[in-house]
Amino acid sequence: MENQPLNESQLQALLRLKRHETPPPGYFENLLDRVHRRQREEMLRRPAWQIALERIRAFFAPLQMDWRHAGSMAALLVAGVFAIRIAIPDRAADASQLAVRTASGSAALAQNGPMLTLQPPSVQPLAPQENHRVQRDPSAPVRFIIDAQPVSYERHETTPIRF
Amino acid sequence: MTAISLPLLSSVSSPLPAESAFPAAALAGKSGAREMDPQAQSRNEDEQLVARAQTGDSAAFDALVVKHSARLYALVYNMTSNHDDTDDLLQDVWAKAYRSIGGFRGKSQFYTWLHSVAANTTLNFLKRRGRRWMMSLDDVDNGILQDKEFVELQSTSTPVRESDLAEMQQKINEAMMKLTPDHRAVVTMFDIQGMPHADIAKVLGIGEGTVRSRLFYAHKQLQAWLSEFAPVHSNSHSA
Repeated sequence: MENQPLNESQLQALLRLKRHETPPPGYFENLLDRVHRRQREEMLRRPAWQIALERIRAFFAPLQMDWRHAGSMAALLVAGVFAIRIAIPDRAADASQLAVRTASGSAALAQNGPMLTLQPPSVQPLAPQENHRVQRDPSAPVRFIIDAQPVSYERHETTPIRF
Repeated sequence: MTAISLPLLSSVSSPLPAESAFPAAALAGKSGAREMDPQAQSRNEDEQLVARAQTGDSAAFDALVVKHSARLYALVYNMTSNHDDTDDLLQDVWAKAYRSIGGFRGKSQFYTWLHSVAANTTLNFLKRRGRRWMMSLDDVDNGILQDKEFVELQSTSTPVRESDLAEMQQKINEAMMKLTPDHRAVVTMFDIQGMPHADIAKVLGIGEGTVRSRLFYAHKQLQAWLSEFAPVHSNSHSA
């Protein structure tokens, strides 16, 4: 008795027998459930930006829009927004500039004005400004301003504050 | 859960996508009355299901899972020889397919694309795992006893006749696992799944010549390793 080498067709016949190796019964019936579970797990693990991107894509999907068209539309939109900003003066910026101007004006008024605001007699100014320094007579009584109404020790007797 | 009839692995014998027992014609919204080449019909059915899945139709994606899982299982299982690894990898493959089906443009057939995802996922797994592997084989179904090729092998090969099925299965799988993953992939697709060279080349992203040379080399090795299953001829007249 002697062994002949396995020829090509015999080898292929032997390998084809592997088709009879089958998974346990019911394996494929349960596979779909496992695939669904896996999909849900992956959905939960995804970062928020991916979910948002997918929703945007899903929103635009019915439009059948090519990415090139979408890109050009987005570029047009951005250009439009810039054009509008250039054409219409920025009210917010104006308002803030106005506020700055008003504040600086008030400060100048407070510095240049005849009255010193809420400065106790013992406290010296931190940054003395020689040019605009209020020259006050040290012997004069201190005057305070409350609600834009000048009050002083002298006036206190005549106009008492009521709460 | 609804019970779904699925094609057995034993039915996977054609060189092109198996015509599933799943009533996919109904899923794809086809009447099925028109006579059509089964392969073309399967391809057409895939195209419709893919188009629906790309618009977010989860039922269409489920139909694709049901239709192609048996073939994918066979591909991955025969490359790993391990049921548990196959199960994990199969779920990975479907998860990848679900994530990237939106990018499938239909330049190749869906089953080629899907096999490509499965083969690459499995090859990466095998290369990462290296030499640490353990066989966990599926049972051989009873259909093998009626298989013409098995009956013929039994009649000509004493080892096939004498060894029990489990032993023979073990030896064939051990021989397969001695091959490199790249060679095993080619043998699995060509010899076990019956895919043509051109499709294997597309799936693996290599040339047909490379497929043929890998097959030639792998067959030579397997012939040597499985020589004990060669037909035994009596030489008593010459003794």
